[in-house]
Amino acid sequence: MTMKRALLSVVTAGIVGLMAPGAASAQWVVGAQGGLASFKVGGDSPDKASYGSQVRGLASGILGYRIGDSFVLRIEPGFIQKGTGVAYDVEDVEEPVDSLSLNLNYISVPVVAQVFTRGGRGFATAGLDVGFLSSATLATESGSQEEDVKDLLESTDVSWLFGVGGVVVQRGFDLSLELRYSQSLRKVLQESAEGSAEALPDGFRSSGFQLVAGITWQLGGDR
Amino acid sequence: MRSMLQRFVAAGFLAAVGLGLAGLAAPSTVDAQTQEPRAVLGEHRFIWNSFTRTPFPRTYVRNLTGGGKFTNVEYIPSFTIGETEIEAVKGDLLFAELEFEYMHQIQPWLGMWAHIGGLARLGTDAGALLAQGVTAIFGYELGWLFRMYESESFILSGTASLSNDGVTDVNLLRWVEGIIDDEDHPLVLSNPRLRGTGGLRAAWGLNETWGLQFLGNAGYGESTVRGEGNRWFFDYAGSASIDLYPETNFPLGFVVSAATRSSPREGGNPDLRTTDVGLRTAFTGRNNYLIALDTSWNGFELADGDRVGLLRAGLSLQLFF
Repeated sequence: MTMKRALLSVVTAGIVGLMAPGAASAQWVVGAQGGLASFKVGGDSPDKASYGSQVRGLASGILGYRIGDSFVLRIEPGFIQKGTGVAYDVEDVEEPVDSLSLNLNYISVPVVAQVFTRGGRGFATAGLDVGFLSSATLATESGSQEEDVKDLLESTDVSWLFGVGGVVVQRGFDLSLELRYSQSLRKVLQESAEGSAEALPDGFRSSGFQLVAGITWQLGGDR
Repeated sequence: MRSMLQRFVAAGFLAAVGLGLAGLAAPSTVDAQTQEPRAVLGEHRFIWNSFTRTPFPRTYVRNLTGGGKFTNVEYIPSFTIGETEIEAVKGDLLFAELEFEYMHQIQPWLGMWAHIGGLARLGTDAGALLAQGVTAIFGYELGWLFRMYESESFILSGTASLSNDGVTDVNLLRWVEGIIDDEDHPLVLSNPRLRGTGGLRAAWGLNETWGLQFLGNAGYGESTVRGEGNRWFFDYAGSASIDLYPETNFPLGFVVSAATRSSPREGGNPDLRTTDVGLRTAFTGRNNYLIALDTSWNGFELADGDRVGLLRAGLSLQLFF
């Protein structure tokens, strides 16, 4: 108990210290962001089937540390949904028919380097997103049937992020809009589960775009 | 409902891209005034090519349209039935190639690039089509280039990039062999090749006429051999660049390059390194663009063990901002 109190005191003192006027040069950045994520999976699709992207949501907090004029290292813990549709060829129907929907929900912890342009109005980002799978379902398009496939999938995913965006500086806060591309580096299906989910390829990864709007405040230092 | 959401997403994407581009293209403060569009070191204006690429984090756009040809490839070896010897089936393989690349200078020390490109390989006669089929590779590369050291005549930069190629292979012979052997050999195979790469690039300007460039890459990712899993690969390249324009006023420059790659993008046996040599011939009379003819020879081994050569040529246009 004493140990916990001591630890809590240290953390509290640290946070207060960082936010105190004397720590103005520290230039911490805090904020929140949310947006839309359009993902699809890649890999061999089942016979007479194809994959399509589906639009889901994401939300996260932002804790950043500004280093120099142009560089911010950010950690963005949050939640992201990734989904993909499986469409099958049906006789006498020209277009493949949407049939199944794979829904993956992750607790994600992206670590992102954000570099601003010389004018400070644009930025580019790159980083790694570590995702912890919280739920995974394979459902029919009508929603009448749903199967939990979490046990078949890897519990963690690592994705590489690239993005470009712009920022509008307001009095006291910044608004940003960013387009990100995310490419999963790990195969999602567990090796031991290969072949057990007919609608999913053995070696599939997810990839897709994210449209992210954010608001940030800088704690201390010149903006 | 779904189409409305998709429209909303599309509009949002456009807004983000617009805002991003507006921000990225915002007027810079100092360097745009003093920076030459084409990079100069030690008074040499570099004419870099795709072998050693650029170590300069500058804004440019580049495209390449070209093709290549394998010659004298043995598709089906000779064999004997009774006393009759059946001759080997030989033919040519053609590549058509298209590349587009854009790098944006985010800071004087940092550039971010996006590269998309593809090549299609197909046989030019019936034997080649039957035995080798048709292969199409299309993919992208996203990367960051960061300057680590720069002096009057030398620059050293680091890179970090991610590439993903989708390889589609249509092979009639494999499919028929599968039917004969009662095995499941699909007619069409598609295979992603996801790779992460880190590297170093350097340039050394000797004088107005001569410059040298070097590149070293180490990467990890999916092999060109389907089902083999991940592997490490290492690429090295060196170039000498010669610009005749400053001394002779003749607007022509050359880049002579040599490289060796493991697990090349074109496919083949990943255990044997390629031997590549190239020559770029470029119009160097302008500071803000280059028009170049790229020719090269690549020696590597196909998956079936044939050591072959590939001649390729392409027209490249580069615009510098």
